[in-house]
Amino acid sequence: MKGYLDRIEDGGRAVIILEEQGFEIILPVSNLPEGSRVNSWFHISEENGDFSFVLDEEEQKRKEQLANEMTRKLRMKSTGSKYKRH
Amino acid sequence: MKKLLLMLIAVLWVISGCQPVSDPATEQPAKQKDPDEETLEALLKVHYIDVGQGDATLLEFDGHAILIDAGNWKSTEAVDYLKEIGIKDIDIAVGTHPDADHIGQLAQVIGEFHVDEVWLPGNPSTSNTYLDVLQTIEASGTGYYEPRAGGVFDVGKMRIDVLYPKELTGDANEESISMKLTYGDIRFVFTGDAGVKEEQLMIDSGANLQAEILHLGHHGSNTSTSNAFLEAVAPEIAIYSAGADNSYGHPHAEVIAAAENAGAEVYGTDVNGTIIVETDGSSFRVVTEREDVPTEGENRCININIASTAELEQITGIGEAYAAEIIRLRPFETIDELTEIKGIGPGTIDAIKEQGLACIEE
Repeated sequence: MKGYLDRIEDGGRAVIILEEQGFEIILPVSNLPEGSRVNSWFHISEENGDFSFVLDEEEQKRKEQLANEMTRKLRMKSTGSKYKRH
Repeated sequence: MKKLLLMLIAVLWVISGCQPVSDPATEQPAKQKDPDEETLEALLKVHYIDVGQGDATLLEFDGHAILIDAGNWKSTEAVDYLKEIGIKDIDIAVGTHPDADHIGQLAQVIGEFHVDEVWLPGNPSTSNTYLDVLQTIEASGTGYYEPRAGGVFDVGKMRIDVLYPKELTGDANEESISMKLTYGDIRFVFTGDAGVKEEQLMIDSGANLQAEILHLGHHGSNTSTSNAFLEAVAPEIAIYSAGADNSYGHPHAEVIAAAENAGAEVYGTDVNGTIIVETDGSSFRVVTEREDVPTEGENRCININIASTAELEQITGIGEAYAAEIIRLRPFETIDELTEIKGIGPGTIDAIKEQGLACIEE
């Protein structure tokens, strides 16, 4: 399974989202591999209800490139806001 | 009397199929009208939609609609609500920041309604939820805009002042688009998940933050809503959006208390359901789906390995001196290890465990 670190909530609780499977895993951020940060992607496996996480740097890089590329395109096309007071 | 009226409105609302009541007999302005104040012909309804653990607020007035955040990724509550009340066109849909409990249904909103512009802070996220939003904007030809502090916008008779961010630093989570919306004399402040530090930057910017209605930041968490910010906004009404029994203990008791001490009446979507503020631009009233009193969220965890002195002191039996010792000796691996602190015995440990507030997350 694949998931990403969406955010870190109060008390250091990491929210991992598995979009394909449709659920979230909430766990102490210290239980994640070193180097994990918001926007990190993981390979996730489950054994007897316990989840283990391995950083998926390739997926993260791919998504980052995609997000940056799409943001760049939208910015280039943007003509500003029509509601802006001049 | 006011509580009784609210209850009456709530009951009528339920009877009428959760549609806001429009019977003039129940109209009771919360504030006395001043003949000099501007009264706008069209009513503004601000819907703080009950979307569980997430944010979604719709401002609806005179044929216009502005949506601020679009609920949690796991549900369809935001989209369902917009459909239910017959929204078709949205002038601006704002994703305050890319967390999945804020932009969760934004792609569906852009896909299913006619959205003129989407506002995002511009810090890219790697989630599919976020990429779907960008893709839908691109595919539908919707306008894309990254607002910055100081910007002033007009949608019909609504004025929008952007309060934050001034510029992007890359710290995506904290960089929530924050805004003040003014309709006649009635003002609303929204800060997404902006933290205490960002609130201070808004105060330091010199912007006038005063507003009648404040949306409490970060679902009523104590990471937001500093006393200084409350003082600057000086709200009469404070509203948080949180899911009942959420995993994060939102809202926090001290935030509710601070808002009340600052003179605000507090409402929350977890206890009141969808909350609607109605205004003609000079007076306003609050209509709730359910009558109830906001209380601290369950599942609150004060992580003794990172909590502040003030937080530690909320743990039973822990005063200033013990809090200082906890900070000096941490990290702890178990609650039982707190007996390492001179004066904390098994009785206190039992009481702490019974209270259930302290937890260990290294």
